[in-house]
Amino acid sequence: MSLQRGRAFADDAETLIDRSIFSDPVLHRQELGRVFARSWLFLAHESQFAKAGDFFTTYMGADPVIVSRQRDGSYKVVLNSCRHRGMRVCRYDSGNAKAFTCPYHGWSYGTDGALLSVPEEEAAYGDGLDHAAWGLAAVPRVETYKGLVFGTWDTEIPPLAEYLGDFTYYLDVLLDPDGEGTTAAAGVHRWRMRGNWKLGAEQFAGDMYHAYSTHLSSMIAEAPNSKGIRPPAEGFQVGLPGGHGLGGYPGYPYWHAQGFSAEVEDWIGNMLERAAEHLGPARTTGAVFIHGTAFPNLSLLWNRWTLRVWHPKGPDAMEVHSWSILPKSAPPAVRRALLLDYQRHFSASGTWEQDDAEQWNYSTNGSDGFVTSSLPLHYGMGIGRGPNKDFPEFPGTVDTVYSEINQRHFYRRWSELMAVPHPAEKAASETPASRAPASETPASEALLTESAKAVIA
Amino acid sequence: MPWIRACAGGELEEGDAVVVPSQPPVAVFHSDGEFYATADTCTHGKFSLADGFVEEAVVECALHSAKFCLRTGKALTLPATEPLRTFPVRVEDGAVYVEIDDAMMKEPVS
Repeated sequence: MSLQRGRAFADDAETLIDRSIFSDPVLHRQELGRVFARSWLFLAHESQFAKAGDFFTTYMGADPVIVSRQRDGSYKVVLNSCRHRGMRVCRYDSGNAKAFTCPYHGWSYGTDGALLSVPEEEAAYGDGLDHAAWGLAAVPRVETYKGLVFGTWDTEIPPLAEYLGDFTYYLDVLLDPDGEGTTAAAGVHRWRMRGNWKLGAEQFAGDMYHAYSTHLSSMIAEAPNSKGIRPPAEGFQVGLPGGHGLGGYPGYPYWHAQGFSAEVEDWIGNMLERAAEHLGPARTTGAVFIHGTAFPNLSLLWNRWTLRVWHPKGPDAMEVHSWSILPKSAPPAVRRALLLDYQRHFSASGTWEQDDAEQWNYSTNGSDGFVTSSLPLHYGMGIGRGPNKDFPEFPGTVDTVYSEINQRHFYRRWSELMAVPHPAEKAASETPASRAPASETPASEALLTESAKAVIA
Repeated sequence: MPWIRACAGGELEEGDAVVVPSQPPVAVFHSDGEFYATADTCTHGKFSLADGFVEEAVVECALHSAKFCLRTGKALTLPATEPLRTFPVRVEDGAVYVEIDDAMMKEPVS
């Protein structure tokens, strides 16, 4: 069984996944352009940028970028790579800067990416260096949704709110529960682990099935705090156009099963009542959302007050950036309790996080085997089952909690994008040497500009 | 030579600087309770020193970390070697004034 380029599925019924998508380096390179450069990618939370010059460094696919607040309050996102030798111009996770100076030869750029200053410019270049042409490449579109900052290299995909579509109905429960918004706890956790990024993204999109196996030991350890409260037997998965998905249970008092103090339990209960007034009962007191993914790589855990991004680091590794997102209305004691709850479960040292890391490591590892990789994986859970009619107000295709409908939505969207080559792939495959005489500086400069345009197009 | 108003003394917080839009521009710094005025443009990388970091009457350029003494204008570290010109400053009725050359007043100064 060989992969048809662009297709994740190995069968027409779309129930089998060709596992080379988790390990093939060629597909990985294509994915960076066809999937990541064509999607809205989550970058940061607005509360990380209090004043002009505040910055945060992250990735868009494999491209390192700097997100910074400008004097006019807008956000600018530029490639974190000097135009002279490619060194990172900013080596910090976050901070405040007036300018970014490359440590290699000292080229300096404004936070908007403009080339400001080149050491010994007159002696080195005379008047031959066109500053306007050699700034840091800027991401053409940056938009926000209720405190979240996103960027995309694609100038043609719909605006962010339209791209997220009905996912915002569910996202609002985390970002806007009571009309007062959220703030990100100080410090974004970052860690690397083995495993293809899609294994994290698809699991958060639609996999409740793994919990009682993967996380069993964590659940047993936490059982003394649970007061016998367990999730209902029946729940839901919701698959959405665009590859987004989420899952959870009908409303139940989960916050009484977490070992919180009475003060924290009361606050969560009261907040849900306020949320029901603000957003209606169906998605607040009527449901407990657990997990979800906005395509391609932003994932959320509503009940742990956290969101994260899976950045690809080659086909077999990823870097996770993880935020604790807390309601602004929460008093300090509640914020601290929610932050600790997130950290215990899903920070780098979180028990549940380490449970998952083990699975993704060995799932990916096995994809390299010659015979192993020839066998497709089973993604057929819930196929042929009727829709779940218990949640009539939910937008999207609703199935029961044990269903892989969301994984199939995710890989359908991935396959659509992978079927169409990115224009920059052509530019990258033709080397400058094959197209221009090496000795003529103006010709190769013109070529580089064309190639840069293609990346941005 | 003309004295021109740079700012109200209270406007400029400790460690901050303001640029007087003369030709060339002059920066007025507030450090350790004193006000200092020097040429605003770094003698190494051509960048506004008012955007630099100020501590104990020394400014460090935000681009390449050249340091200058705000009292004397002396270049204290590489990569700068040329000193900054300094200008007299006085505080009168709560406002900070700096004395510049006639020739520097190429444009109306507010």
